[in-house]
Amino acid sequence: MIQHAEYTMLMSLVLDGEADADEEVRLREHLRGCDDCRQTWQRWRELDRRLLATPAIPAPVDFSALVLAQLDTRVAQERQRRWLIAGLTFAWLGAVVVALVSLALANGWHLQLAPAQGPLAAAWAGLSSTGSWALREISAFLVEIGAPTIAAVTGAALVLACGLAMMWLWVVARVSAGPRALVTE
Amino acid sequence: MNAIQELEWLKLAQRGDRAAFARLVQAYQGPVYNLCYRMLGNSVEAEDATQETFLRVYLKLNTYSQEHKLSSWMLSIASHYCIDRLRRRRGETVSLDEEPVAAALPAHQAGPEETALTAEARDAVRGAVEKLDPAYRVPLILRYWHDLSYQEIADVMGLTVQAVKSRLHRARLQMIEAASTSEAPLGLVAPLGLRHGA
Ligand SMILES: [Zn+2]
Repeated sequence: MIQHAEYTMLMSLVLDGEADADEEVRLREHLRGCDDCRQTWQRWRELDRRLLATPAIPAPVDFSALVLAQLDTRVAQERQRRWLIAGLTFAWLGAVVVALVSLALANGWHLQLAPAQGPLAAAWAGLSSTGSWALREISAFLVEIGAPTIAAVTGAALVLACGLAMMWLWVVARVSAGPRALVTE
Repeated sequence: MNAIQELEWLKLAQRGDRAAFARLVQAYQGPVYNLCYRMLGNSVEAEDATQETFLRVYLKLNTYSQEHKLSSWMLSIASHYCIDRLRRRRGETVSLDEEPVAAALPAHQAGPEETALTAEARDAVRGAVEKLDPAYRVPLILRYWHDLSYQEIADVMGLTVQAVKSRLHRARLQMIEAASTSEAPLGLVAPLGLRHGA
């Protein structure tokens, strides 16, 4: 049987009604001369018959009302998920942009981009000197405060942000649960 | 339900008409539930999976393109969900030997062919299908209980026709193999006589 594996593939195709005329003839001719495959073919046909004779299972209830009752919640959850993803993407992009701009300003790269002359050059020079002045002031301020204080303040800010985010999620969940309660009662 | 009516409901549902969506659920809950039941093997999970399938259908309605049949698209969502669920289930101990619901359903009228199989034989078939690897189980279910062609099965599963061909072949080999080694065989080994009655 195992050495005639090619023929079980043909059996499968014939049972599914997907064999072409050539393949069907090939199988029938082989079966005429091979006892092993004839036995296998009988088993395959019996398996096929039993599968065909096993009835489909009808739906036990009408699912439409059950599904409709959950739609509002699911739609709200989906919207919430999308907002969350959009918010995270935006925050991440924002952080990257801020970091790059700070790096560029700190290294004075913006000076190389500045136009050489004209009114734009004057405006650019003014802007960049304000920028580097602000950066200098900020770093002086940070040095003055000291690392432990900065760490403490940053930690507190993070905790506050997490707390606010949790509250926001809780409010959204409450609001989206509202309509569902109306439907199920 | 004819194709024009279906298209009408589909367009309304895509615009958010829930009554129209309910009509679509009613039209396809039979095939979807049947697929879920055959995949998961018990009515509790099958009901849950059917609801989840239709919720996903609703959320994705606007991504549906009419190059596929609506039924194929829904069965595709259902089969992917069931396969995920079976993956998550692996490792948990879930009893597959639940009370067979098929035999207990009073509303279903058995056809003349169906009566040829005893409840015992039907359970043997069900058990053998459940032991199949999910990748082979889906095409077998679609072939036997949804009467789909290779091309349609390929559409539902996102496979080539060649892959469907080979998976159905493998599914049958696995079932025959299981039948010749298990203690409660499909009755395919010997003798080949059918069990009539009940
Ligand atoms: Zn042979």
